[in-house]
Amino acid sequence: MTNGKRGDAGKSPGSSEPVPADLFSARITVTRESFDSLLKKFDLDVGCRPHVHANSDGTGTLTAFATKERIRELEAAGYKVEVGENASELGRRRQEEVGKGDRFEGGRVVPRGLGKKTSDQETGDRGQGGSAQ
Amino acid sequence: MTFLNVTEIESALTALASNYSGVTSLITLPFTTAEGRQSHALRIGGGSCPTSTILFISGAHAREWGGPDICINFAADLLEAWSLGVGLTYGGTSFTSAQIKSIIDRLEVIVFPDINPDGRNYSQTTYAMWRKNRNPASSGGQASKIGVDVNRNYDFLWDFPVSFAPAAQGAGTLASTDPASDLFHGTGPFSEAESKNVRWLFEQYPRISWFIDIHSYGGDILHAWGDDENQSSNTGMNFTNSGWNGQRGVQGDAYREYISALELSQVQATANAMSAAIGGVHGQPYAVAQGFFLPGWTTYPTSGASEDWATSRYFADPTKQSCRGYCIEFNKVHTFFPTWPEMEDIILDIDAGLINFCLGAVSKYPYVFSRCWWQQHHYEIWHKVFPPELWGPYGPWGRVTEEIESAVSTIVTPIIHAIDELMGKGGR
Repeated sequence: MTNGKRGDAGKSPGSSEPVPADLFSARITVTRESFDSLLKKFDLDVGCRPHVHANSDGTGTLTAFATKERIRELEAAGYKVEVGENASELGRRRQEEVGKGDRFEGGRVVPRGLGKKTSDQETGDRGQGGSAQ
Repeated sequence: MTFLNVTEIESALTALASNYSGVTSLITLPFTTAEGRQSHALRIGGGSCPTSTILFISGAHAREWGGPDICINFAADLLEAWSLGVGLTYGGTSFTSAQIKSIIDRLEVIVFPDINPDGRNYSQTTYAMWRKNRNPASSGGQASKIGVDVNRNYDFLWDFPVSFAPAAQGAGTLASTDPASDLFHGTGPFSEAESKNVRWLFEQYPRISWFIDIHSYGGDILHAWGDDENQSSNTGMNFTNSGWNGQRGVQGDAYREYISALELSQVQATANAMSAAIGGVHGQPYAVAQGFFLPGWTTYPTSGASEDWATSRYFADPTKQSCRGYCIEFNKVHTFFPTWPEMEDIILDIDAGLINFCLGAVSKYPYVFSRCWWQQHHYEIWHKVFPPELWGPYGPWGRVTEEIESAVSTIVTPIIHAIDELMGKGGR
């Protein structure tokens, strides 16, 4: 749930497809009045759904993802922006933590979940977590 | 361990369906993606007469990687624990073998872990921050305009320029008609293979009455409605009423979306129970909120989102099964890309919440009222005798029967559960 558009940073080697410019995590100080106009004016990528941390002085801090160029525009418009990590670079690093090949061999290897399989005696000792609704 | 790639998600589903063939089946979704991928879902349990059907989906937004991993782990845990006749423990939250058995015996759980495989593959191999699907139909040949936001493509107030107030459109959160936007909502409701496959599941399994769409991030459990504030007094003020077009999406004005007070309280109770189960794992419960609000701050109206559409089907057509739709935003840290060890902790949290959610669906239907004939025909008979205008969600008797059902359930359910336990029926 975001409304960001991608700025281009050139072409990738050997490809005709433009490479989007890197997005940086940007913590932007907003007020209730400026929040809507910020989203409207700057077409920011606010993640799946924006999250605003309420500050003690009545302002809030919105985490968004923006190019360096967009961050400069925000600062020029008077917004206080704290630039965090390069989210695109983080994503590239995490791509190394994606499975290679097929660990389940086309369905011949059965996946096992991370939950601990426990006897009812063990469950009773820990106390049941399933609560009525 | 690592994040699952799109091939592994499909192989995992195949393996689970094969290894637990007595209580599962592999569902082939009919609509292939723009890049030619065919998706699958896993049907778990149900037996010959399930009391309720639950649908979990994830992976709509490509960069929110952990969703499919949560779903595969959920299915693998549930099936293995059931086959061993044991319970499940996630950190500080535990479930007994009888609870696990009751899910398999009495519910039909459908898990559709990766509804947008093209987008996931692109995010995991090329551009990690990609969000949409990879449909080039509206791109005009420009790479920057490829893709549709699948979670703005459902048929709930999809035509936002008409349905919403200009002020709500101004903030740019609803959706977008611009293919270059990450919120591009497509060329029409259900224009995309990914959302069509979800709709197809609802059509093929018409008793789906519980639905969760798993997204990231934030640590939230969101419920209806997402278009405006809720209200429980004016049944005529609702999304089906075109007379309110142009007025939705603004807090504090005349328009608010109808949901009965009883239904809203039950929707919230279910979300709160799920949050408690999540919190029991590592001591970090999720925030429960109406989708329209950014809690403690302001509003975030949306158009064409899945949980609203799932909830709205019964409101738009009372002959359909009523359904409570939710969206989970997993990960309290503001990143799409936790390390895998961090993701493992999140999987434990959310899977405890999903198991608890299933148990809530079990408990809603006491065993004696889940006899096949009764459950299949009582609404059918009721609907034939009385017109929808009377008993539907916007009709007077709908609200009266809700109250009666609630009162009876409060008195009778504990007695029925006690009888079930005595008779060894595998109730909770």
